[in-house]
Amino acid sequence: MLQLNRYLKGYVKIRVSGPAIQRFMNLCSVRGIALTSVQIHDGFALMEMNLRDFWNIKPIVRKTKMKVVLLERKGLPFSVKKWRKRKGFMAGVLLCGMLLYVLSLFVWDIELSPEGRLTREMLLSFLQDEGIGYGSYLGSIDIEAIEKKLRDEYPYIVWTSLRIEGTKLTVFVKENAQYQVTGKTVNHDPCDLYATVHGTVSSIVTRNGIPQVTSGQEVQRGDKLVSGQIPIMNDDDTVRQYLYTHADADIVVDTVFSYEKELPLVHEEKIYTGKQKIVFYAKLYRNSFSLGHMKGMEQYDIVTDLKQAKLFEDFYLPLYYGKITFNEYKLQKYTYTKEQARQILQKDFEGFCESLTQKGIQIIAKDVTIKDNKKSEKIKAALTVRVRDGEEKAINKVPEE
Amino acid sequence: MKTKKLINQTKQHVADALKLPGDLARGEALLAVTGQQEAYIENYKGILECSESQVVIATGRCKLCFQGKKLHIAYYTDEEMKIEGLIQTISFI
Repeated sequence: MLQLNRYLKGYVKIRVSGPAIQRFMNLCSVRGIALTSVQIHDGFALMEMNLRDFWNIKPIVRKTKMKVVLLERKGLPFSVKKWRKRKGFMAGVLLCGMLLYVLSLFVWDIELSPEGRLTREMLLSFLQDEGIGYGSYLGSIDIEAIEKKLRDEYPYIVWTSLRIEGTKLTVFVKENAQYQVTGKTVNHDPCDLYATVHGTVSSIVTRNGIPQVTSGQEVQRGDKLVSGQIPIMNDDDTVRQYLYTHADADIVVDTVFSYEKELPLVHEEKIYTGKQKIVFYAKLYRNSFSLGHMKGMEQYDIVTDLKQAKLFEDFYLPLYYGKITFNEYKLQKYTYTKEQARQILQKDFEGFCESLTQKGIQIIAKDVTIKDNKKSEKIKAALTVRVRDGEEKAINKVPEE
Repeated sequence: MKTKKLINQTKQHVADALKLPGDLARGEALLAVTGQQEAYIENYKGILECSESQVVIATGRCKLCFQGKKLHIAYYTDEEMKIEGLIQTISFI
């Protein structure tokens, strides 16, 4: 930093000779003149000082009867003088400076930290709807308004933070883990609850509305489980009027999921030949360029490795560079043994069961059969699962007489 | 003479009681040496002698003498200075 300051202000290298070099240096120090790179030889000394200080050493030189010779002039003020002759170069520097300034006014990188339910795609599409994207003008982004809108749009978000650092927009969100997915806390319009699966009601706890089914009862898809229409009866058991409420209940239904997968024994596998081709690639805003082309490979995998150019920590530029690697492969036919095919099918089935468990679906019973065909193996399974059910549907109100 | 000694002694006692650092209380020089190559000095009065083999600096109470080879002053301001080169001895004279 000190060096940069010196360079910007300009400095000179001088040769001081005479009877009192030490006195000269001490007087300079007393008058606040900083000396650098002092080298003392027999009878003379070489040193550097700021350009402005150089104009102030005259009294000291006179007082100490020293002889000062200017050896070199360094720094920006002198360089500019030289550059004045090189107009093209100066124009280039100016243009570059202007370009950097213009680029610093737009968003060139968006970092998102989505959580749980709010995915990266949802956040990006939200930002897009708000007119924020790659290349948006930074001055037009109203951070507070967007934060508020984001919280309003996704009620399960409890905290949002939009930050602009350099040309990078960072979006942080924090979700409320306790929030009910169904949005029951937001929507209070009158509705009924309907079954979405075929099965047996395992349990029903009604908070709002009149239950239409009981525990142990079989239901079909589309059956009404809880009614949000509450009749008010007259003394003679006729309906006086209907009150409408937002039906709310915890309904657990036991249902059967079927799973089926067939695996042909003869299959094709990629065999990498080891032949590789690397092509350098650059992308400027929306235009892409590549150095080199793909020839001589019929089937290949593409691995793209891109980096975004940046000047400083957060000054991202609309320039991506990197390489594309083409890995050649050939398809070869292989045949699984019956045992291998069974293992693969079994593994896939276990993966499917795990994905159900992760979704909060409880598996009660599994009925799995593996069928042996001539050219393939087939797995068939009936999974008895316990799911939460109850789809909200708006009520068509009965007109009052 | 006696009065001066008494003032100095009182100053010393006050500085000790307040636990003031020596450079503040007595105007002592501060010296920081990095290996054999660099030395930073603060609180000095001026340079008394300077050559490639010896640099003598006047401080508040004594003289500080650096001896070595290819000694030179990297920077010299009214607040601090840095000596570079191969320092062989540092002595207070």
